[in-house]
Amino acid sequence: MRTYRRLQQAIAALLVLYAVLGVLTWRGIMPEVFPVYSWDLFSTIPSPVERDMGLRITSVGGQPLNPPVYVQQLSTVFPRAATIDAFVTIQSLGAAARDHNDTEVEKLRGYLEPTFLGGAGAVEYKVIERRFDPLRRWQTGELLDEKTLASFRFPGR
Amino acid sequence: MKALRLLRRWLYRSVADDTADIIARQRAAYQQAAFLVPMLYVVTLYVVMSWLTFWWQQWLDAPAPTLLWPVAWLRWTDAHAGVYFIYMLAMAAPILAMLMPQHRWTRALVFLGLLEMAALASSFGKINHSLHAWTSVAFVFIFLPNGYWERRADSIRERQLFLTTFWGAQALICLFYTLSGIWKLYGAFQQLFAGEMSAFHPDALAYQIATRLMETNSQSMLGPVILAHPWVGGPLLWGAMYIETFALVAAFRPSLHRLWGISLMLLHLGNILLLSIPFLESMTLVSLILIFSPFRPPVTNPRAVLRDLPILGLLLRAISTTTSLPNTRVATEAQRTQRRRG
Repeated sequence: MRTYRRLQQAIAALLVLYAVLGVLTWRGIMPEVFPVYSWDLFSTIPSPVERDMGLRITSVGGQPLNPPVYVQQLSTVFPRAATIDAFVTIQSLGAAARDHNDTEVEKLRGYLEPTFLGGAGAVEYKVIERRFDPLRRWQTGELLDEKTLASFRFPGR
Repeated sequence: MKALRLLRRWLYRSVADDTADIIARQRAAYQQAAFLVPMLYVVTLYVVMSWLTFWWQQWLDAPAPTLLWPVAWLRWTDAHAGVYFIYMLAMAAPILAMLMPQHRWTRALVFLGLLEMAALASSFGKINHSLHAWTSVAFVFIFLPNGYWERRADSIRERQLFLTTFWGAQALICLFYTLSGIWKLYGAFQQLFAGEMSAFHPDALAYQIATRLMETNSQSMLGPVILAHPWVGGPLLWGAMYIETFALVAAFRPSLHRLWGISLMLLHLGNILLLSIPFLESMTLVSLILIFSPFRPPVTNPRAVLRDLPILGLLLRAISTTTSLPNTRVATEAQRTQRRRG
């Protein structure tokens, strides 16, 4: 009976501890403690004036692109770029470029370029901050405005 | 204390009040749980292999920029050898555990293998949450009784320890969904009071789908339907919020295990069909441990399920008592008398 009670208490403690840690790591109150997570997924609805960062490719393998296109649209050239991991890394790179955090920019480029832009020779690209209405952009591709934050060249690998 | 008592009574309200067949039901539940555990290890191997098949080359080639604590030791070893060791551990452990699930060390190895692989996958700039639920279940399963399960099956105490640990895994998974539901409710009220579009708006899901699909320039099978008719998405989103928020309550009510298992599976299916987000690991996990829950009643009684629904059940009972009070009471009294005699 004592073992059973202890087991019940241990399970209750695990649930409470997880919930507390989940709440504390919510929206960066404290850093995420792997493998605990707040499970804050899709809890806010994108606004009709949404903002994000994009990576616009201007040249691949020494060939200029006219017009330049966003990296996710070149999934045949950069198959790993159309993943959520790439999107999240681009958001971090954009934020670091906007804040002029050069150390963070170099660290993120060191991961992003070989991982998502590798295998196609030299790549030139711009980091762009975009504003858009999600439904309108989905239907027409139209953006409200774009702002170039930085330009980089990846020599290729 | 009184509040705790009330909470306990509310959470456990569906527990059967007839004790005649409780031992037989415990035995059947034990057999079901003892069958499910090695099955989960079979699927664990599938999960591991589906990840490694896709990612093994990339994890070997690109140096991980932010090593999480479970794989921090890779800094002090040959990176290639270390990553290969993680691959071998993640593959071998579920094979050992499906063959010898009764040994705690095999179950501990599965947890360790999943933890290492998930940490490695999350050391490339973004923490990937797809394996969190599976890793958590593997952790709880370490505490299943050690030794020969067949011999222990004769003891009520041993069976109860086994089942309680299994329920712990179910409750932990349900907690994840409840947290997710609570944040959605919080976000909805926050945006509502800020005068923004919130989850309560019928078009909310359409905005979510459009934004998500454009992040990866991807298409989804049914996303365009909601984008063409945004109001259709409203009830789907509200239903998902209800199912998620009350998942932990459902864990306490065996009559709801099957319904919540099916609903959560459909929720993940919806995420795939609408948002192109394949949380396949979690979909398989909730299907296995909730739809085939050892605690579900042998026969599904739709009325009992409706009565036990969180909040909605209270409303339904309030409606039924105001509309058909005398007959219902008579029937219930007659059933109780019969049960006492039987």
